[in-house]
Amino acid sequence: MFQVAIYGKGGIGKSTMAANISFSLASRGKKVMQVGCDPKHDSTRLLLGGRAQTTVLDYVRTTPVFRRKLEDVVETGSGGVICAEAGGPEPGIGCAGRGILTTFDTLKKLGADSMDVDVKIYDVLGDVVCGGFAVPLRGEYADAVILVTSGEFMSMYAANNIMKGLSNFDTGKPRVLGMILNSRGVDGEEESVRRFAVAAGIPVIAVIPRDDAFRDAEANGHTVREMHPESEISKRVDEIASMIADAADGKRGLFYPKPLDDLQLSDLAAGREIRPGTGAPADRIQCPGCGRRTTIRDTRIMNSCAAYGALSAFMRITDFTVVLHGPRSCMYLMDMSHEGSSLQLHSRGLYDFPPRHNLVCTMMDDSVSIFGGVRMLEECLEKTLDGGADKVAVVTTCMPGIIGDDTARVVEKASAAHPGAMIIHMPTDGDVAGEYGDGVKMAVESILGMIDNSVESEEGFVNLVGTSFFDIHSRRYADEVDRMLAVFGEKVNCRFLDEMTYDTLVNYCRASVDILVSDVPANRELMGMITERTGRKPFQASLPVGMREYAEWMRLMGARTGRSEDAEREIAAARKEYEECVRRRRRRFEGRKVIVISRMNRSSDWLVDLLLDLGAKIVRLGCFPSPRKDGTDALSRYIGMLTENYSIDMLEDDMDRLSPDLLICDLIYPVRNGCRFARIGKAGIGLRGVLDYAEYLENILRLPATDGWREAVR
Amino acid sequence: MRTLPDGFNGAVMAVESIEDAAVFIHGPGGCRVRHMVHSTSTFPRIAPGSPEDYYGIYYYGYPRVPASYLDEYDFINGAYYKLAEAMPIVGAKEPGLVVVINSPGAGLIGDNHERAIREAGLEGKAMFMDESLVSLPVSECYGHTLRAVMEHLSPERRNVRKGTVNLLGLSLFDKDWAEAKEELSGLLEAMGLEVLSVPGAGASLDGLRSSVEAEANVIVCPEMCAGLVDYYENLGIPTIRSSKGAPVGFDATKAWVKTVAEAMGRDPSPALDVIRKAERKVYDKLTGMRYGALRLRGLTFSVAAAASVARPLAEWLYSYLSMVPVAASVDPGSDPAETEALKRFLDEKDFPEAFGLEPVPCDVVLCEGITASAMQLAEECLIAIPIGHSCSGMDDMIPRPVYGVQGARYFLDELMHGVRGT
Repeated sequence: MFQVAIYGKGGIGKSTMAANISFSLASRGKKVMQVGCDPKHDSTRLLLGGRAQTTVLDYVRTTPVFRRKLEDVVETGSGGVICAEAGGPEPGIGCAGRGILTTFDTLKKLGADSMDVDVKIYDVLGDVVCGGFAVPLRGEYADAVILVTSGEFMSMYAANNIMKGLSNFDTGKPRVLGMILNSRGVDGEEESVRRFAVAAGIPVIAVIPRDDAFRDAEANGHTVREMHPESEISKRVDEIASMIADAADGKRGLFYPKPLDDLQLSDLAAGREIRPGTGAPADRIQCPGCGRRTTIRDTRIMNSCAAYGALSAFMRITDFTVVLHGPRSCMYLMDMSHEGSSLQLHSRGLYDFPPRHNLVCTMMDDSVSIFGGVRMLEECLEKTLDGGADKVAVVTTCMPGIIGDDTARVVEKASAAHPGAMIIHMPTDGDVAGEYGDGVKMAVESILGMIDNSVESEEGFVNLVGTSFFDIHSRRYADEVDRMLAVFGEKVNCRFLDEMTYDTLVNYCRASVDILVSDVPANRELMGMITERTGRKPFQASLPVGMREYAEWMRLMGARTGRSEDAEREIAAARKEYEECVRRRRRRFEGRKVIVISRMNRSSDWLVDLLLDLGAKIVRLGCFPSPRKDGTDALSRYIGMLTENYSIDMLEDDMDRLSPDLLICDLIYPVRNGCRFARIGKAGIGLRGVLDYAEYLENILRLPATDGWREAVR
Repeated sequence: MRTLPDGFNGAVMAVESIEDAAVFIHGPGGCRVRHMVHSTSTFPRIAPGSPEDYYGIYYYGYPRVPASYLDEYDFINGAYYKLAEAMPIVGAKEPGLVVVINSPGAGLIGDNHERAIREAGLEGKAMFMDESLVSLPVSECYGHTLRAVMEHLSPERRNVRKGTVNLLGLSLFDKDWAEAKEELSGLLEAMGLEVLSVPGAGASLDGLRSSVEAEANVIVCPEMCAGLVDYYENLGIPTIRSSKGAPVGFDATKAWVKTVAEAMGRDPSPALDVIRKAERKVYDKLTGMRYGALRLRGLTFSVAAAASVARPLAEWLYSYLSMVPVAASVDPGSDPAETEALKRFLDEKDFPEAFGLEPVPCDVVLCEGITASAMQLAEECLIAIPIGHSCSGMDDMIPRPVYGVQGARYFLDELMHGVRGT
């Protein structure tokens, strides 16, 4: 089968040409199929007696997958030409290019590829050569490409763009058969087109004059070639068909086009002699600093998307239902992560309320993305609201973002129809708005608006603030935090942003102070947003880790609550416990060489303090660069010891050169030479955390260097 | 709403099910990570080369499921430059086959994957799944993707190896698929049959190539291999499928064995003996427990799964343990005949109202892990038994597959532990 793509600007007459060529080929005894790839869907009309046929996309929209049949979307027209039309979305909705992709996919699945066809003609709109409309240019489809143009500049400009698109789909073989001038009667038309063709290095294979025969034939729903077979037009069409047949038989050569650059195009537009091309692709932005990418190294590596961040933030408010506007796979991937960890925390008894799986998805599929997903979102939202949800967050994934669904309007309409409901719009568009943290931030901006600033603060309550509560997500450390607060007669009002009810959120200001869970950039940013929204001043210190931070935090809390004596008593007791812990364990650490590597954007000072107190010798304090390019951002009293941009190669070297006894890091690394390995991520909150960690490290030193299971199968 | 994978997830995991193939996701990093975790957890394997080889671009430290990390710029401008850069890097790791799959968003930008594959010199060693599979049933796309791989490999059926079969319909979405494969293969081997390949569950590319020489294909879960069955049937390989659904519970497992034996002209006794011995042990145990076993009788249950799993499970719980079906729904893409059989069973037993209902509060919920666990923690059920499609059980060391004798024991274990003291 030989496949020909006929491209041209909208309205240039390419469908008329395509239908005439198809009929002519059929008249030569060829089995021909014509596929219209223009949303206008009138490509095959002249082969079907002026009648429009069901388009593939209309069919896809209305027919379930299991009921689809090839014969429903193909018809046999004049001369036995098999006809199919892609169709397209309504103006302003969906993505017509995507429609072409779906049409090809659908026809393939329905078995169109196995039909008995000698020549397949694709009639393609060429105004916009986006990924979808470029599909017929791919090697697997077009063996030859014909450009239809008039002498009007915009028509030649479109033809030039198609040639650029063709170079992006280079198959290693020339593919342009030539250019057809479909005359419009403008002055110097043929001369302009021929100059253009010469500059582009391709032939003009036919000049079709303006002729009333076209109007006459079209009025009757036929091609000129069928109605007036002896006409001059028909002769020229037959010549084109003959060239296609020769090309199919390998008797006629095809051409590599040389699309004109911007300067050449300006010469063409001005009617000047076209200067030689620079050879530089005209669509490449050459200006310095314009930032055209050539490598993934120019990309911010995001292991998650903003949609997931926003979803995760809203799912923590138990009264909210999240409507995820996207495909089922997005729901699956996000829910597996969020709900998977949330259920684990629930199972550890950390919350007072049962889990509520408050997530629904619009289940966008390919057909919906073509026609826009607005209706699907409307229906899903309506169903969710009718089902009793009165607080809903609509989070968008990549697909609606790319096809341009007006999700804001849907939310607006639903809000108007349900005045009692709170519907929040989160247009994250997958990772277009950034990664997880960016999505959380977007959501937090909205969530903060729910806080009632007029609620009076009460002594005895604090808020804990953090994007992640991993450090206290065990009953043991949650109890430790409660114990530390109880020293000052305080308890937790709200964990922001952890699992909570809407009421807790609204009454956020009931607490007299806000405390960071840990001093990391994301939490500081979160606290900054809260401060900006509520005007509340955060507590000076985050929840402490290690003895030094613990004492400092206790003193600050003592000063704040007027209970400094209680604080000093607690510090003295803690110090005694800490020193006793260190004294008992010191003999196992004395003089031991330790490498500590951190990748986290948080201080490891507590660990350095502990190791030094235990008498260990820190031979390297390294910090890996973050693959996410946001670097490290933590204050440290030991900055002078820190080796930044530490690497695996450096670690390899250190392992051999420094012969450490203990490696502490969050990297899975095969230790050797008897070196022990400990996780850095095991530390918990407060004094309890560091005491537990000291015990953990001591035990690590007494354990075999390598786990038995690693050796068992060698 | 239940949390189920779709066709995109199915396509990615189908490729990951092939021992020496690699999938490349042309999509955002968020589309990569969970697949990477799932693949590594459910099908751990040693990556070729040293770990350091994977700290470079496109891998970022993790050997499985490299991706192009698309972002807004790429959605607007296309990301061919990433495909062109990535293909040689992925190819250099020398997987037997690279399959490039678009994420749902990437399907909208139409990059030229074939060109990137060709220019990297990977023609024949890499293929592009040029289809949008989003929101289609996971089962349909799992088998469809395997079929596409087979078509790419296009092995010739030069000869037929008598007494050999392939097992079709197991997948990486099945709990403890490797142990299920081992047990079911063992039952077939007990009847003197050799399992040539298990496409979709750890087969190598060579295994897939040789699979076309099998005398017949034996179906485990028909939903997960529909497209693949057609492929093999077109090559002249007959399909053996039990009329009692997938081998879930003792009864359906015995029926599965008998069906294969009859079709292959084998004596089913050795395989049936294995099952009957297990049944005997369960009988002894339940008899010995006396009151413990009585606690199962009358328990209400909800089941939601592929129809070929839900149906034998519902029948077995009803007939073997005298439990009450209150909700039974089937996953999208379920086999119509199995769905009808489930409905017929519920009608016959006078529980027609249960058909089509998603899990409702009751004593026992059997469905994918997230829904089951959430219902249990919300005290909407006494016992939650995850039966696939999610993260539950990935860290199990005692295998708990759904199929075969092990599956029957798994259900009984969970039920007996759950009714302690009730």
